[in-house]
Amino acid sequence: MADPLPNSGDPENDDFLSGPNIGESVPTFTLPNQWGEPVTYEPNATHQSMILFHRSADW
Amino acid sequence: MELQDKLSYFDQNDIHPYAISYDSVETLTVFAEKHNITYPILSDVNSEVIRAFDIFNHLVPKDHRWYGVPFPGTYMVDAKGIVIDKSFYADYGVRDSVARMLQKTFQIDSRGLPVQTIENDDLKARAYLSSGTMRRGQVQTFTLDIALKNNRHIYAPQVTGGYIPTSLTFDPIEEVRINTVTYPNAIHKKMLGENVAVYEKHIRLTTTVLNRKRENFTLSTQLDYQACDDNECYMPQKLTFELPITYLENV
Repeated sequence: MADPLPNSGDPENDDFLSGPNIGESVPTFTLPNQWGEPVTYEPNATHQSMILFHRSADW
Repeated sequence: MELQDKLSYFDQNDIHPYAISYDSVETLTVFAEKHNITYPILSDVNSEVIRAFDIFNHLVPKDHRWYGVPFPGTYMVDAKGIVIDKSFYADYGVRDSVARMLQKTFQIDSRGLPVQTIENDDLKARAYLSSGTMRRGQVQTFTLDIALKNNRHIYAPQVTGGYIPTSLTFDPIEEVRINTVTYPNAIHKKMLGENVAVYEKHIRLTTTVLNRKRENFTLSTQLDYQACDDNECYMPQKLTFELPITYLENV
């Protein structure tokens, strides 16, 4: 872990974004996974999902 | 990785995880091999999906090597693609544990939770945490389920007039932040000509616990209450619950 992000983490001062709200839909996407294979997320009425956004796997 | 440890719960309940970061596929390959990650971790190298979700961290300067990262957080999404719950903290060093999210949104309890049950003539109370392990920066849910017995009731926190309110208090722990307790709505019972705020039958008290420690600790909490039935009141009680928590290092 290096120097902290230039994001104070202060909810009073940060212009802090959290994307779609409860009740709203999420965008569909296709991205490569850790083996380089494309993975698509789209609602298909068969399963629920947990979509996690991380800062990085590298630090 | 906590999610990898909990993967069987995802499989059993048909919840698909997608973990997204701005790392390259090469970085993710190394990371996945090092930590045996079998669920999809996805490379959003140009932050296109991060932008599509509108969580691009615009506070990072363009020339910074972290330019492109998101505000970290998690969405729980139903089969139609609608957000049913989300977990974002302004402080990027804080996050809900996967165990807490599974429990809170999908009502899935992990096995082996720290739990303590106390039963007496008034009630049966079960205290438990969403996980028995905590990493630094993780938030877990503390729950106390109370089942009143023998047609007894206890008093809500807002009661006045000499009744003993139900109160849940935690021993302070250095570097652990315990949030305000959420009490359920009371019912109003007519007693001696006045409405009194009470709890009957089954109630649930909850709070959250944010860990910043780097060692094991014990969460200790006291429930104070007095139980009465329609005819008489019983001795006020103080019940103590102690839940051990094992510290895990972040990877």
